[in-house]
Amino acid sequence: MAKERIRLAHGNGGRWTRELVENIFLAAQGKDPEAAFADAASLDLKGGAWAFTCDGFVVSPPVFPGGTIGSLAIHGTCNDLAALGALPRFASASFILEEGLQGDLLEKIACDMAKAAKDAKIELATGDTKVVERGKGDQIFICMSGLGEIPGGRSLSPLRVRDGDAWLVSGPVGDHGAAILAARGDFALDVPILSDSANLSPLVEVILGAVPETRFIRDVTRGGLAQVIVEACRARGGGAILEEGEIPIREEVEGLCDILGFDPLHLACEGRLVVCVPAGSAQAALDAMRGHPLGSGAAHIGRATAGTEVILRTRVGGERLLDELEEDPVPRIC
Amino acid sequence: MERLVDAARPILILQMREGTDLAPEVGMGLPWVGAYLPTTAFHLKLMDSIGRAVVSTSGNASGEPILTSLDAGMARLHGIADGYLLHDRPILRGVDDSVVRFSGRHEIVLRRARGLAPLPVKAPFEVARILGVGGHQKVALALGMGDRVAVGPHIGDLESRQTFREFVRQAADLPLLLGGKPEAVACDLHPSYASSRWSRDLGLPLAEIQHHHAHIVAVMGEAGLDAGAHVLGIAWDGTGWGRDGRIWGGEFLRCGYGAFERLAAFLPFALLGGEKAAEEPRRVALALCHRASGRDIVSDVLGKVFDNKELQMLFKMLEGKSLESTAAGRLFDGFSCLILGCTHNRYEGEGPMRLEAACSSEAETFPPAEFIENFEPKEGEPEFWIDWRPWVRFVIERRGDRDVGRLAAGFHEAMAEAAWIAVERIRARREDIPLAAGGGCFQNARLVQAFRSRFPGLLLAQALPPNDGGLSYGQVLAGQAMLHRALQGGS
Repeated sequence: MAKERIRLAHGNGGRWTRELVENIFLAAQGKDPEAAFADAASLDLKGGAWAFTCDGFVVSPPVFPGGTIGSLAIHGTCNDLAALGALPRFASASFILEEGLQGDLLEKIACDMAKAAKDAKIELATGDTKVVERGKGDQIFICMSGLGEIPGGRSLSPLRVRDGDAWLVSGPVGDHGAAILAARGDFALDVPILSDSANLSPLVEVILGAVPETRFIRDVTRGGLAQVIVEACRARGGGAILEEGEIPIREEVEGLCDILGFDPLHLACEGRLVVCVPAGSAQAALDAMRGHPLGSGAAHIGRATAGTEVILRTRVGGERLLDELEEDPVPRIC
Repeated sequence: MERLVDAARPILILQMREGTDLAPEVGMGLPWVGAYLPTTAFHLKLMDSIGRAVVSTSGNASGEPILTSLDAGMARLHGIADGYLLHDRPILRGVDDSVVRFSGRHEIVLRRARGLAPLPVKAPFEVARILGVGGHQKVALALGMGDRVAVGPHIGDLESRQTFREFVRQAADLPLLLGGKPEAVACDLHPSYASSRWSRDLGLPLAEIQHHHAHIVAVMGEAGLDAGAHVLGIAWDGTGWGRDGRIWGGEFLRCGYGAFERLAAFLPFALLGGEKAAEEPRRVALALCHRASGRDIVSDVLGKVFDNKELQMLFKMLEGKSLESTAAGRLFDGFSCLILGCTHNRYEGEGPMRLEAACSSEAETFPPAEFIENFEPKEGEPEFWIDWRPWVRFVIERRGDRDVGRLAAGFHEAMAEAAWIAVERIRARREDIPLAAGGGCFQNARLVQAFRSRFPGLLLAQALPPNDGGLSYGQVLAGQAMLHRALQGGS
């Protein structure tokens, strides 16, 4: 399999498909061939609230410093669930492969994905594979859905945010976006930038354990830190003030953004949380995050306000309005 | 000199004398200084007691509106001001000084504020109560009022939140002052200018006007051209959202009030790093050199102004897909780097200003620009491109030439000459219509001089600035033309 390329026949549902699924996907997950027979998985779900999410993964290049589209798909799905306070339990993965995709690349992605799922204790319960003609898909797309169990009493929502609440971030922002930019541009960097792709569910548990009254959690993804905060404020009908000097950004990410003309606040992350807690609980939340490897760079970056604007107080004392992402890079002052 | 003493008392840009004892930092290395006479009773008393000229600067932090309250002022200027001289009259409205310069006898209003605004500007046809919101920089509001358009004073750049707040306040204030809420709003086509976003949320009939079209319409309106008129508009500035996915700014447009056709533009070049390219003329120079002469020459010419890592990354960016521009203002930036070595703009327009300042009266003769027919124009592209590459090669060959003054002047003449040939080319294939010029590049007195000597009867901005301060007036007129059916012919 390793030396072959994906052919249209691998997606036709017959022998080729079966062999692909057995030799690549099931092998990576350590499952027996019988596991592939049913089209659906039968799940024994406990009563109570469950979180259900879906997400598509189309990252290019599919292998990047710090991860692959496979592990990213698992982490992203877990994070969507964790943002609701859910424990990720089950996932489905639908693969759209482009004719001509290298077999060993697919194998690498499948193994990476299986490992990420195992580490996250999320079961890949069911899946599907299709192949499209060369040129009709960019190597590999993965469409995920996920189910997570919400322990009783949890209700995380931007509507719970109150004026004066503290906004925190779990670590430096923009790493994933910068890693992808660097990989795409094939830039030789002095200090390599790795994607921050990670399953944040354990960190969420730590935060909710230390601060059960946490208002709202969201993982930072496309559109970056600015997008998450602007969206949350809009959902709530409130505003926020963020301190530029407090937002952690790695020097090498700043440097890359400087050359490329990107705003790190709008660069994607795949392993960072934005957390809103009552002001009095900010220190407890920070301590909890910093005690966990995924939150060692946590920082208190601002607070919720009564206005409608999301304001960034700059290092030189000025104030700038933060907006959601438009196109990038679209220069406003040029 | 009448301007210095007239009732408006604007700041007048004057040439500094040789051997002046004024500190060079005042003019930031340029040979010009802004001078004005006392404008208030308080100033008169102060100046009488000081008895000589003083250097002054406005009471605000960079990029923010002028401070109008004691507490805010003292807080914000902490660390900047050493002391405060106060009077006890509360300030209701902050107002900036107006700024004016001359190109020969031709007046160029750089900033229209105290003494010059909010005065009405005649409208060439009936306009409904349309609010024009300007662009993103040097924003001034305008409101249609029948046979006139009220144009408000300079507000500033909307990048700063305080300035945006002032914009919102004035946008509410101006219509109230002038008899009623707007019936419609006209904004820039740009997707993310703060003024455009604000306009889209109003729920009023909306006209989105292309940036450079608005510049030319403003000139047409001030010239009193009637509703059915057409001009050949030369719109040159540093930026403006274009319909072909590029940043425009070096445009030749056949304009009516309500629509335009893009006939010609400068050959597009990469904007490396988007906004960064505006802050660093060296990035424009890199893109121009690369396009004109290739990678090796670039390393040779610009190797010293980039470190190697940066240069390699920028080359990589040039190989990939980049945002492109046709902006004349960026060409001025690029040539300010190639001729004078300006690598970074400490303030907006520094490179081009220094290039203008460097001009000697004698100009080096540049090779003529070339013209490239665009046989299969994509959506939004012009009929032909104006190719600046011969100029780049010419200047590169002369690097090391110490007479930068002649090169600087030569570049200005080359730009005007290229405009002249382009206009001739257009007139050969189209009808003869009046010529109008607008946009921030026409703040450059040397360029204005080069244009006026080649184009007798050229229409230029008059009481309004040629820069983005004049946009809102143009937006109101264009908005009227575009929305007239929705507004049922105006008031």
